Amino acid sequence: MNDVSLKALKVIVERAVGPVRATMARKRRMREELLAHLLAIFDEEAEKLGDEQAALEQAKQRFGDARELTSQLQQAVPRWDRCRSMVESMGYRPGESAWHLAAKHFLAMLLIYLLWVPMIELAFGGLRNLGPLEQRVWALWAVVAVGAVVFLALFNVILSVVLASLLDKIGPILASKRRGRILLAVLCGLVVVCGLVPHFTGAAVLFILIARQAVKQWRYQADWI
Amino acid sequence: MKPIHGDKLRGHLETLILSVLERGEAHGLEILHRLDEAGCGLLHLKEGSLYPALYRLEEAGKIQAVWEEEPHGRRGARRRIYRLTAKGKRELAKGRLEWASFVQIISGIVGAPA
Repeated sequence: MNDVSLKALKVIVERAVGPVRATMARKRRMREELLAHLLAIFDEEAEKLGDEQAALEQAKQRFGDARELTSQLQQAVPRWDRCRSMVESMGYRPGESAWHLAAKHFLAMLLIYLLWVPMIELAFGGLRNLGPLEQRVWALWAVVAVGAVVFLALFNVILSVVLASLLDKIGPILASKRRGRILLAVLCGLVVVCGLVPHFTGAAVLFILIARQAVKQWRYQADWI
Repeated sequence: MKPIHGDKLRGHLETLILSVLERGEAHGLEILHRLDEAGCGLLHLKEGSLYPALYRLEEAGKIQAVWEEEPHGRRGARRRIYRLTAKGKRELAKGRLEWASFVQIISGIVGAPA
């Protein structure tokens, strides 16, 4: 079998598995198993027909329509796995633009921060009977709190853009295990440096997780292609 | 006899898989070969469709799968070997009873002996 035929078989698998909404691990398992099956039927057909191109066509025919298979595979994915894949999709994907990642993070953070609004409202609700001075203090506190939220959201977006640009540039070299570990070590160092500010530590930990996932994805993509 | 295509097999595929796995563990292609052999070459199933059914059965705990230790052939892709679990055996027995009752009822209506 030549590389062109192998690539063509991988394309068939990718058409079926690519659009499935499932975790990376589950899709990886599907890809490997379906590819093993296609390789086996390709070999059967190549032996029978004695021609790689004809064997490829026949294997494709036997395998079935990719779109139909996608929907069947999707139905076989449990709900909890679909939910996990949504969380996973918040991470960096190879080739994803920095701005796309930043926008995703901004929306996620906005959602998280908005969850706090009812709580703040509850806290203020009990303070309406305070005197004018106390009310002014609380109003000042509210301005500072809102300012902090906006600042932190923007800070995280900037970090997302920087990280995504960095990963996009150095992504292909992350396919090497050693270099991937070096990057993670550098990011761990950043956590220590940022340790003085709790929110920065949280953000750094989040970005380490994203970078770790990106390293895994780049490595897998290098293996798959 | 006319071949039976995928659409008519839908709904019965899981029981068919369980019944061929009763003969012993097998990977996907082997399961298809066993189905083909048992159906005298008249079962026409798109081969990719077997896997969603296998994943559903695995998720339901009716079958178990392990990766083969060495990749099959020279190109690195491994196959998964499926085997029936105790739950799968119970499900198969239930499936057989359901099938027998289905055939009995339908053949009575259609007027053809089972």
